Amino acid sequence: MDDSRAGGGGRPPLAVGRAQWLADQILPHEPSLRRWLRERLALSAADADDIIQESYATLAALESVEHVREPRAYLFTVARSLVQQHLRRAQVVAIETMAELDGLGTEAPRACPEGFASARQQLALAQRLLAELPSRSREVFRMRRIEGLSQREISERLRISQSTVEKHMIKALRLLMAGMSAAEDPDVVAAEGRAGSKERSHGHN
Amino acid sequence: MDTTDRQDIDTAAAMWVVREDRGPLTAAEQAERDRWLAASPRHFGAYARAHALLAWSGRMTAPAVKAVRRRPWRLRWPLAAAAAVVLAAGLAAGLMLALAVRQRARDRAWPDPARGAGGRLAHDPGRRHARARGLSAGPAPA
Repeated sequence: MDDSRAGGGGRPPLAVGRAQWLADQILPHEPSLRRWLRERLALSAADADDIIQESYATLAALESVEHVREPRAYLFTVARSLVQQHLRRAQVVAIETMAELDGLGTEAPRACPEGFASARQQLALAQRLLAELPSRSREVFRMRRIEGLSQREISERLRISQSTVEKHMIKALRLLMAGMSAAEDPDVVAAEGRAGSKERSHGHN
Repeated sequence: MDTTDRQDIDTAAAMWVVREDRGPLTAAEQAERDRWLAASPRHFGAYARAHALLAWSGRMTAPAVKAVRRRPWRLRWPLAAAAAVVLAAGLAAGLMLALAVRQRARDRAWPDPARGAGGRLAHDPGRRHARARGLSAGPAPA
């Protein structure tokens, strides 16, 4: 967080306010970008994740984001140029990838009204991801992020060590990161959930 | 990059972001983090994304919880006050109504001769009896 930036000498890795800007302006478009990379550019899941991670690196390293008027379009443009860089090094390139890159121009695919970018759907996803956390991690994460207690206060209140609080926080954040990666296509997620529950019920029988 | 590497990177990124969230890093921690960040652009990307997710989680969940926990209380006090006013008004009205009904009952006990034999009082068997005995204008027992 920007208000708890590492003290001491040296330049902080992220500019002040950049984490919040990424959270507000970029993160909501991540599932849409992943879908575009997978479906239209025919990238593998691993390649799509790499492009997304590198896009974050590029946006986080910008000196300033004041000139970014259309964050969604900017994100897609960054991702597109990263894909092109990868393609120059790649031996084999899917025809769909080239066709889509040629046809895209500078226009990012428009957000559909039902897209994840809507605040309501983001809220629903955040609540679902939090609900899926193991109970202790969820409790610790809620106390920190919602009640605003410090990690030290949480350790005192729950009578657990600060390193245990830290472990729960890391686990929670790690699962949120994974959950956001899996949020690319709600239909696929729902289908996998049904398949999983079917397997479990077979196991019981 | 295989899946295990990616997961390791995400875990390390989450660890540094949580440590920064705890408070200022020590000089040694900061040096370690900076070495890790410099080792690969993927590390910096995962770190930035982890920061974004932590910020997003607070932004996305706080209003929902406030809505659940606080709004009912903010609404409840005025509602309670309004309910008290309505209740008091209701009680007062009820009391007045009761007094009025009682007063009317007394009025009926002292019938108006102008009404004659007809009218609503005809439904009262006792009253009919009193009229039959020619006592309609006289004082009735309370």
